[in-house]
Amino acid sequence: MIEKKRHKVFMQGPISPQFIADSIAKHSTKTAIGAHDIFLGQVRSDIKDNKTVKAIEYSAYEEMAEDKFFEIREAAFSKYNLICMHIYHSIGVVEAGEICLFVFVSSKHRKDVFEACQYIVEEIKTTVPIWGKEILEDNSIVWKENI
Amino acid sequence: MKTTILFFGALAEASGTLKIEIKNIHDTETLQIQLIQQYPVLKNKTFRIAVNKILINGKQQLNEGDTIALLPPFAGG
Repeated sequence: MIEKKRHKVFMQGPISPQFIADSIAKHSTKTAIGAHDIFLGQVRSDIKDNKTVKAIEYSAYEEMAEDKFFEIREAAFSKYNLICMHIYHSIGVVEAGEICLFVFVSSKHRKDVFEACQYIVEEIKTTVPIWGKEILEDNSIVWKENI
Repeated sequence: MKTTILFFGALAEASGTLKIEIKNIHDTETLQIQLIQQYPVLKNKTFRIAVNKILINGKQQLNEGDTIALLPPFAGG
């Protein structure tokens, strides 16, 4: 019962805690699962040019990004023994303290989910064409770069 | 021969451009030279190039109808 359907990754605006809770709840019927791992990316109020970041506006080359997300899914399913996997990323404005990335992997045992979750997040950061424009408290902007 | 060029992130903002069409450019190296002439603001920017959604390294031949994307450093997650 490996789930491999291609769903849309991008969500407009922040990913709500309720959406995350509902996603967890939907897995109660999948009783082969013994371990979930979740990564949540949250917008940080960094200080840039002595000003506080109040939000990030995400944009993407969506067609290429959806292909990349699909490749990451396929690679993760072939590398690790997973039962299911969900990835959601925000597009548009996400305020500091709100969630912009939700990675959710499930397997029989913990080791696969720990490793898969880390692999997926690192791949997203380095291979998916997504950009973040940090909006500072005075509405000036700084383009974010992953390190 | 016609190709489409897409600008993203900081490059779209700096050039004030999202999409252009260019005629008779046959490889990515010539394309980069022409783009920098047309948009001097790109000269000091870091970016990678994708041809038809595939990242390329070095010089690549272009074909009729190709879509070239100029991709500044990624910042997802």
